[in-house]
Amino acid sequence: MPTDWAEVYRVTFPALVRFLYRKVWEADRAEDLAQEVFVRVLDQDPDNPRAFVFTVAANLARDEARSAIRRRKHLELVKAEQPVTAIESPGEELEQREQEQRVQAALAQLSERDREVLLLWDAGLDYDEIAAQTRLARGAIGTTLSRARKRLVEAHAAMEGSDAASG
Amino acid sequence: MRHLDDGQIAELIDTAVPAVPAVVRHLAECTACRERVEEARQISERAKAILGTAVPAGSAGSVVPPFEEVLHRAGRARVRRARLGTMRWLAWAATLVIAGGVGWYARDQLGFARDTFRPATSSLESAARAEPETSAVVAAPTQVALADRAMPAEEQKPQVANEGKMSAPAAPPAALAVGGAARQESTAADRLVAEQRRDQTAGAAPPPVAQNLAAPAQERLDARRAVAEAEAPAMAKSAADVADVLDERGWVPTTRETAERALGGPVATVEGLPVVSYRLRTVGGVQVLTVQSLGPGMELELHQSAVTLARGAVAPTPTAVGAAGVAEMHVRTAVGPATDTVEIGGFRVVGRAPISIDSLRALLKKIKR
Repeated sequence: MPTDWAEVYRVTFPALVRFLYRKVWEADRAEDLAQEVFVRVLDQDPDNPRAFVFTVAANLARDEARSAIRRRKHLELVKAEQPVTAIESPGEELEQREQEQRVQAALAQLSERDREVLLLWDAGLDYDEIAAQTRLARGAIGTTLSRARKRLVEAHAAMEGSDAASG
Repeated sequence: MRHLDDGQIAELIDTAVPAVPAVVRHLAECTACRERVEEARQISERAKAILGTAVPAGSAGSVVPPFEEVLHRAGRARVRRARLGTMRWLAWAATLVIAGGVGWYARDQLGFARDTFRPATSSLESAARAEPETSAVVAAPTQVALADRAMPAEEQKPQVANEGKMSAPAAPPAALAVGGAARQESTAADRLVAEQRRDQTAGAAPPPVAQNLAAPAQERLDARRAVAEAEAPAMAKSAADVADVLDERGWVPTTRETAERALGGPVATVEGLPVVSYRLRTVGGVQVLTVQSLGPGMELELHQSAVTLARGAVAPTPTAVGAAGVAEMHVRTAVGPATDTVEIGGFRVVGRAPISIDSLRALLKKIKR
């Protein structure tokens, strides 16, 4: 029976956007990539559509990260030429932005494999799906996930501590 | 049972599957493991909360766009891919066509260059080989030199005596000025054969000019080859020049009838000379090459084409040939036979033979009209 991609899309899209957002850190781009993922998988008929979608998403995000590095270099050059404007963000938005930056920094301290497992777990994939995508042994997922969560919490706490000390 | 490891604890927290009875029994007995499970649960919740703060702002992700958007996008992607595939094929085809064209053009160019040099070189070599024996007859670059070489010593005296009155182009042709007896010979062929015999006799005691030709043949060959190579780029610069030089290219043996049919008129031949062959070429217009025998080892070539064609592309002008001599024309005539041109009934006929220019002109006047 062919995959009902419309249903997979409806169920998976929000988690997929979150997953991609934590990789590209741009909301519009994450949503665009999520749609692109489904464009690419439409002709496929995998055994586990949900896991397959996240596999394609991870690959797309990796490609995106590479091109983002190039874009950032270009943007830095453009920004250097532009005059500095005052930030008009309200306090709440600024707080949200800082919080997000802390999460980003904390995630950056994890190893690639730990981060991937953690984000897939947060996206709602079960151990079998995570193992299939990351090509880790099923028995290693719990240990990896446990370590990743602990490191994230510790790194985040360290960020908050340093922010509080500096603020 | 040993204490639970991190993997077991994580699985206990994360999976909905009930824990195995042994694990449940151990947790009931082991306070330390219960505390670790509780700690792990708190860390897991904390991690979830931390990640929950990093979600896309606004409606991104929370509102699912219609699936039709994805389908529409997929359709556009398919069209783009198909177009890209077509473009790729077109690019390949264009590359092949361009490569083929360049190759064809280069081959043509190289072919021209190769053929341009080949006759010239072979002509030079044959001239060099022939010079020690028949320099007075065959390879006469100018009329004066030919006269010097061809005339017996006693016949040169009147010419020397009249030297002050003579101008070079108006000098009497050596072969025809030899004696009245030659003019009375019944056919042109007989006269030319007699002329050749006389010249060979004269070659036995070479006159002063001919002594120059006694220099080593290789040395003269090298010098002439250098001249030919220097002139080559100028010669090859236009198709007309190339066609002028390469009259052997594309010739096909034919009959007189076929040649006349193709030409649209009578084929020009010199009366009294046996025809050796007719050849036809259609490259750049219809051209007919008639070869007639002048005697043993001597041939007259008549290259006939329509005047319009000949003016545009093929034949050297009679003025250039007649006034400046054959030396200025091109490599072949620089070291080879004399060439002259006549126009007859809408056709241009370029004659060429290893004889003096005046002898050739006399022959061309006998072309059947």
